Amino acid sequence: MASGRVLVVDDEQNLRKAVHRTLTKAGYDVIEAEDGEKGIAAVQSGDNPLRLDVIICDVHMPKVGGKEVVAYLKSQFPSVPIIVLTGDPQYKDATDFLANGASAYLAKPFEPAALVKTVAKCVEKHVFHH
Amino acid sequence: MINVHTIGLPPEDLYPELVTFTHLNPSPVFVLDAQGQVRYLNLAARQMQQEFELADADILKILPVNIVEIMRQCLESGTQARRLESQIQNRWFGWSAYGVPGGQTVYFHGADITGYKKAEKEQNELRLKLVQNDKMASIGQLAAGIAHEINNPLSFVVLNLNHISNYGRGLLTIVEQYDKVATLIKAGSLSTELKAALTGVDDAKAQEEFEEILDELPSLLQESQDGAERIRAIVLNLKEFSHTGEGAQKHADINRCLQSTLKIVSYELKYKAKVIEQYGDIPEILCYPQELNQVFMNLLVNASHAIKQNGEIRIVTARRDEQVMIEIRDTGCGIPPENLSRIFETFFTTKEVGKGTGLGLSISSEIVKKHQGRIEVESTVGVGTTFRIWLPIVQGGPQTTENQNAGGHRKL
Repeated sequence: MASGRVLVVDDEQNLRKAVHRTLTKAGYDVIEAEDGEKGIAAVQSGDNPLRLDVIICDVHMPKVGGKEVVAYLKSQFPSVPIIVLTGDPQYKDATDFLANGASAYLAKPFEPAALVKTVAKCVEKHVFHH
Repeated sequence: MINVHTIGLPPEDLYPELVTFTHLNPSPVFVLDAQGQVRYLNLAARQMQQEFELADADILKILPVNIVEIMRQCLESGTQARRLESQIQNRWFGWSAYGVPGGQTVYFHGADITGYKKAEKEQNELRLKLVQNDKMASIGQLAAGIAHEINNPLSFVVLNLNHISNYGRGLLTIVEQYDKVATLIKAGSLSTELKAALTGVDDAKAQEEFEEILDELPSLLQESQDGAERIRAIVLNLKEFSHTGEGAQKHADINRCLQSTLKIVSYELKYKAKVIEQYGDIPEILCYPQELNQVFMNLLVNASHAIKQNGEIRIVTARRDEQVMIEIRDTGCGIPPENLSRIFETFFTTKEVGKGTGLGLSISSEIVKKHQGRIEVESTVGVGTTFRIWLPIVQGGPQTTENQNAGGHRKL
């Protein structure tokens, strides 16, 4: 039994894979997607479309900017916590994201333990809410 | 300008006085015959000889090194040679040389231009510093994009290394079990002991997920290598770009200059705009490549700032007669007409504090001017902006027009 289901949205394939591996090891079910729309499509086509515990989302991606993606994901999954990943951490961005519905803000590069801990916290909160 | 051929010679009764004036002229005068022998030195020239402690045989060291060639020209065509320079013991002299066609002597007239040369050098250094500062400022503007570009691969390298080190530990545990088997075999031990040891191997393999290690390790290593390579390339590009120019002209391929500059800007650009590169068949030109790179950088950064999202930047180069044309066209917000006439002004900027220095375009236009080229701009608000640079393929050598300001170097 997985400890939770996580959607990873990042345009960087190698990063998705690395996050995927790390979270799989930590006992999570992971779905990868290269952008927000594909992420939602992937989640909805799964065997248990309703269950999603955490979304991890990069904010520096081509086509759609991170803020739009977070807003979009938030509109689709209002109760699911979102962890924002960024390669360009800035205090103002962090507060903006947190004010606009993100649950956590993780600056790249991050330690695997920090990622797992952040995901665990978010899952806990999410499970607690339901 | 006075044309020597249209003015009359002085009245003959002035000749003795003119000779005296020449003799007492504070500027050095040398008259040499066709064989290069000194026929006459005025007082100032004699003083120079004393000042630099030159023997009579060495006196020509004061004159430009290529005097044989200069004299040949002067005597053949009867013309004058200007903007000649010589250096002796940290001092610089500028010279003009005159001859009459078919004549027997050449007249050299000099002036001390040491102060001017020093100022020129300082000005050059100052300009290099300005360009370098501008370069650093543009890297500052791109810092966020570059940081992101480094942090992305760095993140998966860090995550992968964590897995790799776990797998490494697992492999060591398995190898230890194999080692036990090997020791038993060497000792010629019994099959029951061997069997037990082999079970230990199997247990370790299962425990450490050996199959998974086999599956995953190669790609983990490959991806990490790719990531490290990407970081290395970024750092290398940055180093190349931030390198101070030697301040010397060289032949360079403008298309390559554009490509290497684009690499640095692309870290920021790629999230906003599609870049279309249309490089034409253009010859190498004699230029200051590091400085032209800075011009391209400024134009590309501006294009990137003008685009919010989903834009397009088109880079075109082409040869037009004896010129190279470089066009950078963006589909950004455009420049309103009231600003368009001011964009090349020093310190003029519409960017917010911390985003622009107001120096980029003014420095760029200086650099283009220095290459005897020109820069044009067209812009429509809401449609986009096009910058076009024209650079001559054959340039008139290093600019020396300043020399005309130095005494004794006036154009006749």
